[in-house]
Amino acid sequence: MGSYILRRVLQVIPVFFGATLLIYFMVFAMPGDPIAALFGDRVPNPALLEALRAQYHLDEPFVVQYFYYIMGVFQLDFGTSFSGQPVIEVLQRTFPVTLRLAVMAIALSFLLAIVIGLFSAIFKGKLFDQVSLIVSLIFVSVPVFVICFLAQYTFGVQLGWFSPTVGADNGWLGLTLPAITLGVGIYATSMRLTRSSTIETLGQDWVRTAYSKGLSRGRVVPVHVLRNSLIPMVTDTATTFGILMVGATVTEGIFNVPGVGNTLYQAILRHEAPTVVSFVTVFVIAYVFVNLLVDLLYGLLDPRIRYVK
Amino acid sequence: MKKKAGIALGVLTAGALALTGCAPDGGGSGGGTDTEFAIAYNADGGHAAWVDAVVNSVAGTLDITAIGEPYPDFAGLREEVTDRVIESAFRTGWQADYPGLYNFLGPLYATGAGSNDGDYSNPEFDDLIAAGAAETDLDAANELYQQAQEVLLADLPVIPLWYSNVVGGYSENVDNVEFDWHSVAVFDQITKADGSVVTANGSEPQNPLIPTNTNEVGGGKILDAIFAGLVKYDTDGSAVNDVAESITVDSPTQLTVKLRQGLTFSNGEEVTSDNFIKAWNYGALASNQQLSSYFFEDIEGYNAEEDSELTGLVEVDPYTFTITLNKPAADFAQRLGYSAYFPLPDVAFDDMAAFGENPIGNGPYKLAAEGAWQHDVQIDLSVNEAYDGPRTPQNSGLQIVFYADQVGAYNDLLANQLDVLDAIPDSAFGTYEEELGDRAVNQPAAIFQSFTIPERLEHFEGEEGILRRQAISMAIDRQQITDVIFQGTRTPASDFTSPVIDGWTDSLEGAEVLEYNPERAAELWAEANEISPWE
Repeated sequence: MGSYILRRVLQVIPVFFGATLLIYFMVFAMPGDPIAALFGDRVPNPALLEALRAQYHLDEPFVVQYFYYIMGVFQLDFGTSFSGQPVIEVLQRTFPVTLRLAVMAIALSFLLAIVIGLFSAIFKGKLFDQVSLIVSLIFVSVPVFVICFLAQYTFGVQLGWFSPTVGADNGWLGLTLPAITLGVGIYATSMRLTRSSTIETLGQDWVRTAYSKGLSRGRVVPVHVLRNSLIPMVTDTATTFGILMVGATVTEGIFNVPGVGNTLYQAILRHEAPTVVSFVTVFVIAYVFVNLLVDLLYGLLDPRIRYVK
Repeated sequence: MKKKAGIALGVLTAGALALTGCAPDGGGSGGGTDTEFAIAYNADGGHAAWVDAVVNSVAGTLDITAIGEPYPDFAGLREEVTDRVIESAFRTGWQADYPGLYNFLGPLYATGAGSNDGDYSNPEFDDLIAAGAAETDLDAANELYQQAQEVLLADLPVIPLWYSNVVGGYSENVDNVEFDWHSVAVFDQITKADGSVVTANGSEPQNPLIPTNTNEVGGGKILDAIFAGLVKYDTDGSAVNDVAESITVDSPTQLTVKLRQGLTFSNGEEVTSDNFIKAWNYGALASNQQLSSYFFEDIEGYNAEEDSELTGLVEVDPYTFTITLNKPAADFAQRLGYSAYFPLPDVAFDDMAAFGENPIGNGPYKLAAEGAWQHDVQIDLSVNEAYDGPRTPQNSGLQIVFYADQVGAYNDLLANQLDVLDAIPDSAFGTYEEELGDRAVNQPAAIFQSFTIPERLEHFEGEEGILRRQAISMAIDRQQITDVIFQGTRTPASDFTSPVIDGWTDSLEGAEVLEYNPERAAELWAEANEISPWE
């Protein structure tokens, strides 16, 4: 077990180099001169342009620029944005916000998925199952921004239950509306997974055995069925969590959430290599760890799964 | 017409369009043998709709193939324009730094000027501009600039399209909201019944809050609130003394500035000549790499390549200094309200980076506290009691909220969560007047939009080029495009400047070339074809 975890953690090293190199190259290869673009439609003095390029090492070849970046990272210096802020500070500021949003959205989606999925399986083919199918199909097929705008206009402007945007009020409570929107937008897939996996479990011999032992449904379903149906759900939730940590760019943009999605998008538009690369690298590493966590969770849910070597 | 980076460009374009949610555009064509007329634009700026409308108008009227050519982002387009490798016409625009006609003309069309992207050159125009710059009487100078514009109307170095309007609104909680020539609300005069701070939209400043290093609206809006310059601009664009007691134009190359005595920064330091001279020298010094350093290039001693002192700035006494220019610029006094010319307190020079995070100014507002600038979120400003001047606030403070998406800002306005919005999103152009009623604002701003057809393009040089430019200009139905695409939030152009600028007129000789006239356009195009066929 211990050596398995160690091996998985060591895998982060090549992933780190691969990801930073690739992302750095992609930002480097973007057409256009980010420094000239800082001046809008005006053409700045060439001497000033040169000086600014030199400051960000943009006048150097790709390999040298990458080398500077990596050397900085080893000294825990992730570079600075064009606005002069250390990238590490930007990360520290935006990441918790996105994390809160992701946790809330996932919790909501997980809860909805389990409850509705379980009942849909138990009442397979009945009215409840069919209605939940239609509702989930709607949420899956309507684009995220439509749901966002609709929620913002209805609950923010018309009913006034929430502030239409988040801004400074980005604590747990302030993120309620975007979290609900996000959670509702992603619950459908997990719900369908729970449903099909529960139906499969319900047909197992040991479920029939449990019932024939005289156990009530209230005992069989939560203890015997649910736990065994959770494995695909956990995988799916972890994957979604990974995706959400990268920042729900569209949702963050519409609700003006100062999270990573928004910041990363702006940085890409400005060709800010240090910001883009550092952000993406953190995402990649976080993603790797979430996946590790999921693999370990499998063992807890199903004792037959063991990582010996 | 296709570039070498065609594939990469295509992929990135698709990505950029997906991210911004724009409809894809048929710009990727180009297999035909016909000569195409193309207008390049950046797809990240919301230009696709009007470019398509313009090229369709041109194509329909002149019976040629005309297309819009999207570039994924502004940086990519700008690089090709600057390097002079772009093989098509391209969109251009200009927002004035100060409300003067010269600012729209000199930097853009004078021979060799920095932003003369089309390499236009006409000695007659250059002479008129130089004469205007040397004329100390404003009306007489404007007369010369109008003559210079008539030269431009004959040559059409760019095809004027329209002036952008400021399209905004305000909440039910505030009164006395007026937008100035620069598309920003006049914050100091806003009143709010419940006495709370006024909230306004903004964007995260792209640079530390240092006046000479801020060249974009996000930071500019904040700096204008927390600093006071020698002059300030009224809503109609005229310059009114603020920190200055008087500014005397001694000659086209020499000004004398007298300051009002007893003014202080919010930390108690007195505002003296020295604060201006040191701040301007800091902004101009090459090694300081300030984005707005070019505002000092007309002052004697300026050197963009290496560090040198602005010898043209001389302190006479603590409240008087003289400015000597290295070339005639009679409108220099008019420029002095721009943020690059704000004074700095001595404490700024100790640690400019720290100062940029928590600036100390002499304006009507000040940072509410240390760390009032919450990055990517908002900045809180309170009234600066030390300020004494024409902009004394009528409210208890100002909160500028940074929005990533204007739709969110607009919904906040509708919910009365935001008091002032100066940028209604395109998506609400059809409904905002109904939803806001008399709280909606739509008035021309100091923004001129155009597209440039460089003379080096085939078929666009010499006599043939002039005929073709005139034909293209007259083939564009500006009125219809501003009505339909922009829902009346743009005003068709009748010159190269803006109606909010003092001296503007809509009756220039030759301005009929900017009116839609399909018959005349077709005739002119045919005439050009006799010189050299379009194929």
